[in-house]
Amino acid sequence: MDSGSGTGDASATVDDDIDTPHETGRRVTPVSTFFAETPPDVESWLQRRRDLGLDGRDEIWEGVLHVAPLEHRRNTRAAQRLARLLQGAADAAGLEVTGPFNLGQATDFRVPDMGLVRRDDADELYNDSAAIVIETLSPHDETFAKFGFYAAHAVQELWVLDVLARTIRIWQLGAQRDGEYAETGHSDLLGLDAVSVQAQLDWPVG
Amino acid sequence: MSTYFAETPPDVESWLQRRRDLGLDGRDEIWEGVLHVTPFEHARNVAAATALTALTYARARAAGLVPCGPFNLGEPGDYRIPDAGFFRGSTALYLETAAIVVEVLSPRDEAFAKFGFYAAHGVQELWVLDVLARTIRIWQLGAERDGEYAETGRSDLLDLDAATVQQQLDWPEG
Repeated sequence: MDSGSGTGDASATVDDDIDTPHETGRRVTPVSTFFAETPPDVESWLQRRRDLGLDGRDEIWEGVLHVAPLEHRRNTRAAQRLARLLQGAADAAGLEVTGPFNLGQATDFRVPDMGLVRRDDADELYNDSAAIVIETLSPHDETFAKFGFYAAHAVQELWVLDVLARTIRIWQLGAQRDGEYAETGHSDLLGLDAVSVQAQLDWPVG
Repeated sequence: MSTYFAETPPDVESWLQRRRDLGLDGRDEIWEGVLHVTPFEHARNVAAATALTALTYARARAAGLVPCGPFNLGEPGDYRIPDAGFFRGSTALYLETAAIVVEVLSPRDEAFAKFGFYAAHGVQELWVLDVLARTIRIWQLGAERDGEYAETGRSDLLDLDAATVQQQLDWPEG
C-alpha cells in the first residue's frame, strides 16, 4: 500500500479504484500548515523573524505557536477609525480603546486587533481579560476559533469587523447562557447597536 | 515546540515544496484543509508496528482483514495516516474507513487528537502502542456509547486481549 499524500506522488500509485486525472483534480493544496514538531529550517526562519521584531502579533495557543500573517492596511485603518468613533462612548463608560495586546498568559494567549479595557486597569504584558475584544477579519484568520478562549477569560463583548463586507457583528457573554457568547448585535457596555456603528463608521475605500 | 501557520509564508512554502520534491511528505496529513507535517518516525516505532502486523497476520487474514502499514484514511482534503491498520475489501489511495487503526506514539504526535476523526469514519477499534513503555491499549467504537470509543483493552475483531498481545509482541530493543 502506498502512503503518498494528496500532495505527493499520488498519481504514481497503483490503484484500480480511482482514475488518475480525476484523482489529480481532487488534490488539495492547503493554505495552513501545522508542525507538531517544528523542523530546524522552519525554526531558523522563525528566529530570523523574531530577530527582526516581526513576531509581535504571533500567538501561543496552549503551547502551540500560531504565526499571524501581516495585517492588510485597510484592516488597521478601519480599526483606527473605529477607535475614534467609539471614543466618546468609551470615555462615558470608563473604558479605553487599545490596539493589539496580549490577552492570557505567556504560554497561552491571543492577540486581539483591538480592545476596550477599563481605564483604571493596570497594564501588564499579558492581561487576564478585557471588557471588549474587537477582531478584524483577515483571510484564513482564526477569529472565530478564539471565542472559547475569550469566554474562558470573561471578555464581556466580542466585536467582529468585516472590512470588505463593511459589517460589524457583536456577541455578548452570558446573554443567553452563562459563559457563552450569543450574538445580540448590541453593546450594553457602550450603549450602542452594531448596525448604527456600522452605518456611522468611515469604512476605508478599496 | 509546535507551530501553526494560518497562512503558510512563502519561505516555509518553498521548504515544503523541496520536501515534496524529495518525496519526504508521504506521512503528512491534511486535517480539514490544514497540512499537518509529520516528523520522521523513529525506527523502533516502525519495527514495533511491523512486529504487531507479523504477530497478528494469520489471525487477521482468518477474520477477513488485511494488515497494512501506513495508509491514507479519509479523503484528499481531510485525512489521517495511521501507522498501521487492518482493513476489509479493496484498496484505494484514500480509504474511507478501516476495521482497526494502529497508532504508535511518538513525542508530540497527535494520536489522541485523531480519535474523533476515526470515530466519525467508523473505525471499529483503535490500538495505541507505546514502544518505550511497552504497552498496548485498545479502544472499541460503541462499546459504551454509540459513535464513541471506550477503552476495553480487548479486540473483538481479532479475538485478542491487549495484555496478551503486549506480552507476546517482539518489542524492539533500545
